[in-house]
Amino acid sequence: MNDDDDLRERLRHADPAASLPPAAPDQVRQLTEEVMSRNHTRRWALPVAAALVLLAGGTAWAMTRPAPVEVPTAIATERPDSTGRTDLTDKTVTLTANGAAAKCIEPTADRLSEISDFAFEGTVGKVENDVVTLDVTKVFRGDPATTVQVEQSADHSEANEKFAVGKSYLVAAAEGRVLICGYTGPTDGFGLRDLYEAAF
Amino acid sequence: MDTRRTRFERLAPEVIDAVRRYLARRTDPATADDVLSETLLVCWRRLDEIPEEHLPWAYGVARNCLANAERGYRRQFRLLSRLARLDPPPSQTVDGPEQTVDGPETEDDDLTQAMKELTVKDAEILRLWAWEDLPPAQIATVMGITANAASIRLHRAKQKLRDALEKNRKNGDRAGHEQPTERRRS
Repeated sequence: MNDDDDLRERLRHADPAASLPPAAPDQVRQLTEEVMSRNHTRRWALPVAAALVLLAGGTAWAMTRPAPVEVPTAIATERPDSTGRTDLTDKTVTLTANGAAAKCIEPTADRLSEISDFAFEGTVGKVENDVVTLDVTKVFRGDPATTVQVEQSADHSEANEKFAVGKSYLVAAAEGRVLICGYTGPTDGFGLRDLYEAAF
Repeated sequence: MDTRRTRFERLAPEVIDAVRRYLARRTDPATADDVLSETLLVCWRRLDEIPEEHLPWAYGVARNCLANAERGYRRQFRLLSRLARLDPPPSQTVDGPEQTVDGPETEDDDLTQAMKELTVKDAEILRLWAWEDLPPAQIATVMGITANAASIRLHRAKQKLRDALEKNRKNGDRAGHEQPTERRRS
């Protein structure tokens, strides 16, 4: 394959990682530890409905034990399989799947303020084809908007709590992603309004 | 459990280093961080399935996780993109994994252009060959194809890249564009 050396060399010249410094040993250790402690939990792209499940039960998030790892946006447990169940009434966080506990870190106003670029309060006007339309009543952060549409993922239809028509919600987002794990939920959810008032 | 941990701890530094590079070549730093964690998590969960040659396997996982992340970003982008007057997220979140953002700018414009003209798979095979330095058998593991197929595809991809470079060079000459030809490396 010597004939291809020139081509390979030329490609290597354009390697974007050529000047990437190696990871610091501390970082490597930390990452390794984090991963091993996050057994059976996984990050979901945008489980809006599941996010609301995390909040359901009102005090659920407040009771959440701080997880060993801080997560910028969202971590939810795996979708309940046939043996798993999602218990919405229990006061402790019991969004369970395969026996693992939800690993959301307790939400804080500082964190909310730090990571969100858009936050508002709105009332659900309609839900059509999994698209939730909220009429904005207050914008805490970000450009003014009168209506917001959120696509409610059909992947999580097994979640009992979804955006309900006529109900008011506090929603925070960063770069177009809804923040879950205690940062988005019904306005009357325990402590959520206080969190928003403190953050913005 | 302890032996599991020990094995993972032994494996992790090399995987982290390699996958970090793999991702830095293919996506923006924030996505790279996320996908690296996700990849490691899969490695940890499926530790027992990791073959002796663990790097190609880990690249394969990273490749899938990255594709998932990109799909997720596109979905999330749709999700709130209809927000009235909300600033759109940076454009790279809706672009395909092919685009490398925030990496050092590659100056070889001819090459960049030629790579863009290849299919996604062909371009990826060439990157795995040149950047990750993998032989066809290991490229096969990453791509989930047979070694024989990888060998053939790599051969063809090289040829296609040469053809694209040559075609663009000729076009450049004909159109009198001095830039592409001048920047061509011999």
